[in-house]
Amino acid sequence: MKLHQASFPGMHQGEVIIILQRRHWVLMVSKVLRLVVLTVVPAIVVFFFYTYNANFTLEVGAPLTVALTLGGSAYFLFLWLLFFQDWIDFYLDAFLLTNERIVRIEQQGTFNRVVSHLPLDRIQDVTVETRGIISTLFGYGTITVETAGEQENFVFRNFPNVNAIQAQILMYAKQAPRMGIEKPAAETSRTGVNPSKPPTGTA
Amino acid sequence: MDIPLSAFLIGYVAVTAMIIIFGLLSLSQALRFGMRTAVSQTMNVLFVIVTLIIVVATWFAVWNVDWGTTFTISLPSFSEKVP
Repeated sequence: MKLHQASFPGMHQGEVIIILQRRHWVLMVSKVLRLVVLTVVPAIVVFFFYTYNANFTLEVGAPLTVALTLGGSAYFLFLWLLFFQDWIDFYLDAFLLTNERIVRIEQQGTFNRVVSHLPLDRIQDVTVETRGIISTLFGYGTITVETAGEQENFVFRNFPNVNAIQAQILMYAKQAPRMGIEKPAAETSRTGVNPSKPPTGTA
Repeated sequence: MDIPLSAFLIGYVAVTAMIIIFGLLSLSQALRFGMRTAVSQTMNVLFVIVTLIIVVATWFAVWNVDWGTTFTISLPSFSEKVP
């Protein structure tokens, strides 16, 4: 998908997405491995029972076969659902840099979602950290955006291209005060007053 | 202990219904916030197709079963003395 086609909930009019980044794909590898192992294990168990236990027979239509089929089907459906949950959790976490702010979208489980915004003029510093062999090999790390004031730092863990992201954030943060970024439309509409327009009405 | 196969079927339908409802709710989340990318759409379609394959394959495997048959589970008797 091209960036100009991308959007996110709460996006302002005229806001442009510069970077849309998801966590590194290597994080999904462990989930895929888990799915594969848990899929293969029951088949191996049944195979060993069938081979080494003379009393264990699986005939078509036999009660044991039916029970195993239904139980196995429910088990595989549960596994597949679990994998889908993991994928949603992975895919819906995103880092966005726009010409106005940084947006952090965190999907926590299936139904919890936290979206945080940080205006570019609040950024003080950006730190990048890559630790360990795996993260160095695959090129992912942690980006910490330090903020002005008492607002907590924005931390993005396990994101790829951290150095490029750091450079982009710093570049846009430098330009931010000179660009004269307007207040978000969502804030003005909430209060019902548009500060860019003078109040109208009869005196 | 004798358990009729129909009890297994009822249990399976209940569990499967819960899994599918939860899956559809997750799917709605993915569609709502997934930014409608090709990857997101592909994963959603894949989820539905694999779920359907599992359910339909199960149905074909058990559709002509006599649900009145009982499944006997022999529990160990603890009152017996082990030699």
